[in-house]
Formats: sequence, structure tokens, C-alpha cells
Amino acid sequence: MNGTDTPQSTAAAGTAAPARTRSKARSREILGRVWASPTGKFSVLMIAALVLVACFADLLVTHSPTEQVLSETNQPPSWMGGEGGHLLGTDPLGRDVFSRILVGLRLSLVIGFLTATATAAIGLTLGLLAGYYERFLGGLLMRLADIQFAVPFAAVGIALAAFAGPGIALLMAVLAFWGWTNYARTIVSSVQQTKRLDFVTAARTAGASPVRVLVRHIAPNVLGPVIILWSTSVGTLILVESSLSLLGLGVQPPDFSLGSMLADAQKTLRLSWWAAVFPGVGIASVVIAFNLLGDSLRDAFNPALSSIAENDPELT
Amino acid sequence: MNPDRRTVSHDGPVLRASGLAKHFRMGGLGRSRKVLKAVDGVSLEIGRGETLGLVGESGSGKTTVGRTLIRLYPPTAGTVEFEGRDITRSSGARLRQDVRRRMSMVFQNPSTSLNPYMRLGEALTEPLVVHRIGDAAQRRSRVAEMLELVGLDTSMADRYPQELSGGQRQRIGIARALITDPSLIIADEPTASLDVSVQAQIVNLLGDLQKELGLAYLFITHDLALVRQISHRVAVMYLGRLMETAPADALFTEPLHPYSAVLASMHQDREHRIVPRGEIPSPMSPPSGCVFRTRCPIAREQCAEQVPQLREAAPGRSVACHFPGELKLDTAAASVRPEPAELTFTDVPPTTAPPRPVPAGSVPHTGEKE
Repeated sequence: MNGTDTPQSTAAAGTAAPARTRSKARSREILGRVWASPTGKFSVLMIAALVLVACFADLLVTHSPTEQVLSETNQPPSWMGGEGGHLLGTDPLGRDVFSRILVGLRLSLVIGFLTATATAAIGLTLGLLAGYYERFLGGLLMRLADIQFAVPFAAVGIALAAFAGPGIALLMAVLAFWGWTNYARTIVSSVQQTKRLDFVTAARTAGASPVRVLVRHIAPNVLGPVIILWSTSVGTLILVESSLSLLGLGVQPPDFSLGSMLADAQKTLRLSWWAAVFPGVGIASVVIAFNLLGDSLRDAFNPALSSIAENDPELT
Repeated sequence: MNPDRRTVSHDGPVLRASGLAKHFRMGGLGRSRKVLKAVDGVSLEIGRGETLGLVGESGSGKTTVGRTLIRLYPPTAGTVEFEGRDITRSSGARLRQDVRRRMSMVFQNPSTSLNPYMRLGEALTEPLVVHRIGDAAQRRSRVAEMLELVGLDTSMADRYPQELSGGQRQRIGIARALITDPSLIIADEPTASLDVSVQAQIVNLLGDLQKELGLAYLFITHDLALVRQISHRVAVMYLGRLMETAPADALFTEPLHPYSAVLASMHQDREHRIVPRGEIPSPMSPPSGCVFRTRCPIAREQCAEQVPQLREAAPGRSVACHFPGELKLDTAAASVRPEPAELTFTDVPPTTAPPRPVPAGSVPHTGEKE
């Protein structure tokens, strides 16, 4: 053979560290791009504000969020002439809406964020596997998704509530497992297309394992829709939680979330619209913040969008 | 890694395939299940530092040959020997060490052969990471070395593929193929989607690298002029079978197989060209006997009955034809006027070929584009 030098192999331990720093550098780069875009910066600040408010709600409340003052039921906001100094009025049980929003935000954010993230992780993993091993596993998973699609979630929810009793943790677990079909259906055909592209073949001829091919080559190429689904589902899940509370699954009094506040206040909308509208505004801000974050995250993930724009003034 | 592996002496060819076949099962159940014989009975050898051109029209199975040789899928039949080892059934660590590290691939389309989400440095490093070669610093310097070798600036490592031109991307594809120091490169139409001027640059680069590194190439192409220019030997495929293998010049000056004669005549003036009849038959229902007989100017009854075997016609030349050398260039042009009246084939498939029943999605994992 010819005499060109090959790099000598070293201990396997030496290979793990640079990979980790590289992925760290990559995530810093993506976050940097999110921060650099106006919508990204706005959404990050908005989410940060929401999280801070939720964390320090106990310090910010003006009244006790659970104390019922029956002499001050259905009071309009103080700036509309309401009595008792309630900034956003009181609900039919005389509880301060403003304080309840601050505290209720906590549970809503946790439910929305954690459930959406867990669902996205499960859906992404199963979608990747279904697309990559399309013949057997893919067929099996997609038929399973079809079956699940035909089963109403409410029926499953009621059955579970009867079986295991109400509980927020159970609700989140069920929601997280139920939502995978949306993700899997969305990405499975992109996975099938991507795995046939030459760069995947190149990785395979270089000896890359299926896990490596899936994680480093296919996943980044199908991540865009997953991010968007994730960010929109944060809001959806906050609302789903409130509708399930009615079934006895999920948040039960005296606990409350923005969703359950909204659901309770619907009944007395004509007496005290503020008790429904302001929690609604709270949910809307969470939804908007996450949708904007999703948009800018997706763009930041795509180097084709950002790196060319950086180098080509005509494209910006 | 065994430090001796590079000093093991291999006197034979770098790659030897015999009786290679790749069949794909298509749709249908039980007896109605169809089999696409994409490649059948292909035997070839590639010497060290040699370029073997593999030519054939679309659908002739040349890409499948390349992909089977590099073991993207296991062959249906036949054996593949690479660097003196039988790799026909290798798998796992053996496959990775014997094949993945020492044989690599260059692709046709430089815009799909690089992951748009990976910096080029990362794409180039990947084979080193997979094979656990070197530490971070050594890998970085190896990437820089490769970039220089293919004539690119080392700063390219920080770019993304979409920031590069087609020619530059193809250079990156070549650098990636070379980074684990292979002995054989399967180049699947590496110039077909490039501008003519860039094509020449890439061809020259491949030639220079061959001289410098002693690489062997399997150069898959349909460009006859190119294959004559760059190949030491040429293998001609038609409908999944090998028609002829010959030194490049010999193939184009004195072809032995009628199909080679057809191809070689395309270099000549219009009136001397041998134009075969009809269309290429569907690979799902190839003709009996010799697959080329339905279009061959000199086909006779024997051709429909017997499959001609590939046999050695001269040192370094083999041909699969019952009447090798009968159809000649130039003079042949006169006798070419097909006079098929005396020939009666009972089972000639209709020449108005039905649309090719090769649904793109039904052949899993092949990536076959043709």
C-alpha cells in the first residue's frame, strides 16, 4: 500500500468528550440565533416573565387566592368601581381573580410545558423508528395510531379516573402518551424520504450505526414540524386539562389552574365576565409566547435559513 | 485497531465479485409475488490503483452493482472478495472494519449527499468518529489535510453545505470518502450533475488522487466519452447483466459484444452508428436467453434459447455473447440493416414496452434513482 499516514486510533474514552462539547456549542449557537431574532427575543422575555411571575406568585398576590369572601362576590375590577380593591375583580365565590391568575399560572405552565415536551419526545422517537424501520415496526405503529385515533380520549380519561382516581400526575402521563400519534404521523413520511437521501447512504457506507443515523442525520431534518407541534400544543394542553377536570380527571378543587378558572367562570359569564376573560388572557399570553418561541426555534434550527442570511445581505 | 492491517500483502485484485446477483422482491403475495432481478450473474475484478468504468443505460443495474459491492445490502447470490477477504456475508464489527473503513462512496448529486444540518467539518469527521480514529485534535488536522488534498480552503470546515457551489460540494464528498484512507472508491455518476467545466475539474481531481494515493475506482457512469478517457478497463451492463469487460481502448475500437459495438459506434459519424431496435425491455420480464437479443442486430434462434455465459475471450477481456466479434464497427454499419424476417421468436415481449413497473417506494432502502 501507499505510505500516507493514517491518524492513529486512541482510547475510546477520548472520543466522547469532543462530541459533547460540539453538541453544547451547537445548542448555544441555536439559542444565540433565537436571541438574535426579534420574535425570539420577545418570546424568551415573555416566557421568562411568565415563569418568574408563577415562581414568585406568593409574593405578588394582593389577596389570598383561595379565601372566599362572601361579602365581596362578583365584584368588578377596582378600576371599574368594584369594592374591596380587587385589581381584576372577584369570582362568584368572592376570591380575588388577580391573585388566582398568578397562582393558577404555575400549574398551567407546568402542565403545558412538561406534557408537551414529553409528548414531543415520545412522538419524535416513535416517528423516527416507524419511518426508519418502515416495513414491520412502521406498519405496526401506524396501525396502532389508527386504532388510537378511533378511540375518544374522553372515554379513556373517564375509565382511568374511575380506575386510578383523579390526579394531576396521572393526567399528565396519559396526555403525554396519548399525543404521540400527531407527531409520528407528521414526521413518518419525512423520515422515510430523508433516509433515502444520499447523505444517509454516505453515513451508512462510512459505518454509522442506525442510532447515529437517526439521531445525527434524520432527526435534525424532521425537527421543524416537531418544534411547531410542540409549541402549539402547549396552549392546547392547558385547555385540554381544564376540560378534563370536568370529567374528574386532573385538577380538582381546591387546586386550580388557569384552565379550571376559565371553565368555572363560564357558568357565570353574565354576572362576572372578568373572572373568565382575565384567565383567558393569561392562557392567551402563554400560547402566544410559546408559538413565537416555536417559530424562532424552528428557524434557528435550520442553518439554511440563518447562515445564508448572515452572509447574504440581499436575503435578510 | 490492528496496526498490521495495512501491511498485509494483497497481491490479487482489490475487489473480486463472482456470480453476483441482487434480486428485489416486489409487491404481490404468494405466487403472484414478483421478483426484480436488478443484477444477475455479474463477475468483475478491480485491480489495485485501477479504474474500472461501469457503463450501461438507465435501469441496467449499474448503481445496484455498486451498492451491492459496498454491502449496502447483502447480495442474493454470488460472492464478493475485498482485499483478499470474503465480505459477502460480513456483518457487525467485521463489516465495519473490513468494508466500511476501506471502501467508500462518492455520489451523483452533491446537493443531497451532504446533510444540510451539519457543518462540513462535522460531516468530514463523522467517519473518523465512527471508526474511533484519533482524538479531537488529530481529527481536526486530518480534516484540514483532506480539505487541502481536494483543493479547498481549510476554513470550509465551519461552513454549511448550502453555502458551497456544486463543484465544491462534490470535492467535500470526495474528501469524506477519502478520510478513512480507503483502497476502493465506488463513484456513482460523480460528475453527472455538474457543469461541464466543473466536471473536468472533478475528473482531474479524481485522477490526481488515484496517482497520489493508489486508489482504485469503480466509476459508474453513462457518459461514454468520459469512461473511455478515465478508465483502465470498462465493464458494460445491460438489463442487470454484464455484457463485456475489456480494456477501455479495446472496447471502443474492437468491441466483441454487439451491445458494446452499439455503444462504441456512438462515437462515430451519424451514418456509421449502429442503432438498436426498440426500447430496453422491462427488467421485471426480461427476454429469455440473451437479454440483449430483442434489440441485437445479429440475434438468431440460439440467442433466445441459451443464456450466453461470460467467458474469457482474451487476457483481461470477457464477453457474454454466442457470436462474439461478429458485429464490427464501420464495416458493420452496412450489414446492420436489421433483417429480422428470418428470425422467429415465439416469446418476444412487446417492443412497445409498458410503463416500467418499478414503483419507487416499493424497493426499500435501495435509493435506486434510475
